[in-house]
Amino acid sequence: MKKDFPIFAKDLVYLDSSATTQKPRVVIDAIAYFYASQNASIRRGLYHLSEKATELYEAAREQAAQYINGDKDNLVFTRSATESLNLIALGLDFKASDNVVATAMEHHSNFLPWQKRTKLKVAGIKNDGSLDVDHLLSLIDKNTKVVALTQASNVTGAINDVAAICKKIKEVMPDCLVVVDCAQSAPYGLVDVAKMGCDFVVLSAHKMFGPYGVGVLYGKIDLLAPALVGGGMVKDVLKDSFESLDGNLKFEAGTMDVAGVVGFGVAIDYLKKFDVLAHSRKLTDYALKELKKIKGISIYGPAKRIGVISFNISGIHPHDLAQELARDNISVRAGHHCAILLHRALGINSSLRISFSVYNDKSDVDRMIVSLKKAIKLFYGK
Amino acid sequence: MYKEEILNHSEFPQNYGKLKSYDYSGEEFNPFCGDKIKVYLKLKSQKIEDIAFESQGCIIAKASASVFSEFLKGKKVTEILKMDAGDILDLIKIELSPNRIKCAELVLLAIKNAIK
Repeated sequence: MKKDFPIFAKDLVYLDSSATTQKPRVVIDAIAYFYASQNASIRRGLYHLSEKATELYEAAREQAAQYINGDKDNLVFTRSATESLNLIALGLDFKASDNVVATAMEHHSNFLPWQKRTKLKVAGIKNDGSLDVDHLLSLIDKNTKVVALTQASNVTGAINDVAAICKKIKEVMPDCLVVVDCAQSAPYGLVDVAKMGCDFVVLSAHKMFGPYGVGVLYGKIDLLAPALVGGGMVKDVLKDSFESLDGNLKFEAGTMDVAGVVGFGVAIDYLKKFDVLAHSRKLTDYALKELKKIKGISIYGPAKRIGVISFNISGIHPHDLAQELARDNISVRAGHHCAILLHRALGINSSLRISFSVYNDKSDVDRMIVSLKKAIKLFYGK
Repeated sequence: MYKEEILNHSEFPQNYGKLKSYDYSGEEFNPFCGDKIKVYLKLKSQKIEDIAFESQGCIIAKASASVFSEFLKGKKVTEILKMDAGDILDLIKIELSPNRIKCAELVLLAIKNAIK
């Protein structure tokens, strides 16, 4: 599959797709073609180009909604999953007595917007790195307005059964809103809003072969007030008040990244050709098997996971290992991966992370393992 | 890039631990990786009489703290406040990528936090 991705024209073992995926030629071309031949401001021009650009933009909205089995009228384009989560946190009306329950597995982006807004309680993880659902349920009280939950951890790869967890949450507190961060799980085709039973989901285009600068906010948008105001979201403006547009458009203030959204539509089409979960599972199983043979390794997270593996080698800092791998053109991530709470819960400061996508194959794992062993020998050899 | 000397300093860092009595202590945190360093300083006539550090850092962070702490003994506080990452890189004599300069600089930032 590497042939579809221009970046692999050079020697590169790319194992950081959880951070961002590489971009297939079709997406890069679609964005370039948009600027070269289709560019115009959407919804504002009465001329053909503008109408065509609007049509392309709305077609991508339809594709994104279909991809998660939802309705396009409930789908808002944003600039990132982080922005989507901020828009939900800022758009909901919180009383002084309200609280939010987030899990220790959340990326900072599904933690800080809530922490900034209201009282926050944190649900822990079990020894194997999976979510302690009973603990989460025990934290919910009559003032819990939101549960912030990731569908898959960007560190351990642990997959949360959102449908089952939502059901339990709603049994305890029917009015509690469940906001699900699907930035990691969406590339794996795990998002089905009809089945999940949650109230909001957010996605990130650049983790799904799409461009930077495009995110999705999906769900009960009628519960939200627009946090961003300005051009494009307003029906009428008076000296001291304004009336917003109806529906999803009132959340798309300012000029959107139209080319990016169009590129995202093409990325979704490309993504749909693959069984990403099955492909990554094969690689993950193989990598886990090989990694477990390494002396002094600690691997975090449960067996049921997306294509993400984080680990540490006893006595060696992950930054030092990552730098050695980089010398062999192997791109991995070292650090806390924007999940400091989860690292603390695991009893560590940082970890080395590898993550897979459709362009990875067994040879990438083999090269990583060889390079890793070489690095370990260098540091232990001392 | 990992010269023998650097690996040695990392494995057997100089001035590692805590001073029994000290005048100042300071910490610095590397948000990129979650590493922390804490330094302890004992001054005499506004010069560094003794220094120690504790760190959870990588090889670069440990080795540069080790090398730098040796270098600092007897140096004036006013002189140290004027130093920057470049001075540490000159001392440890290795080339670092931009992301890792902070690892080497961590010790200096902690010292500045301690005495400012």
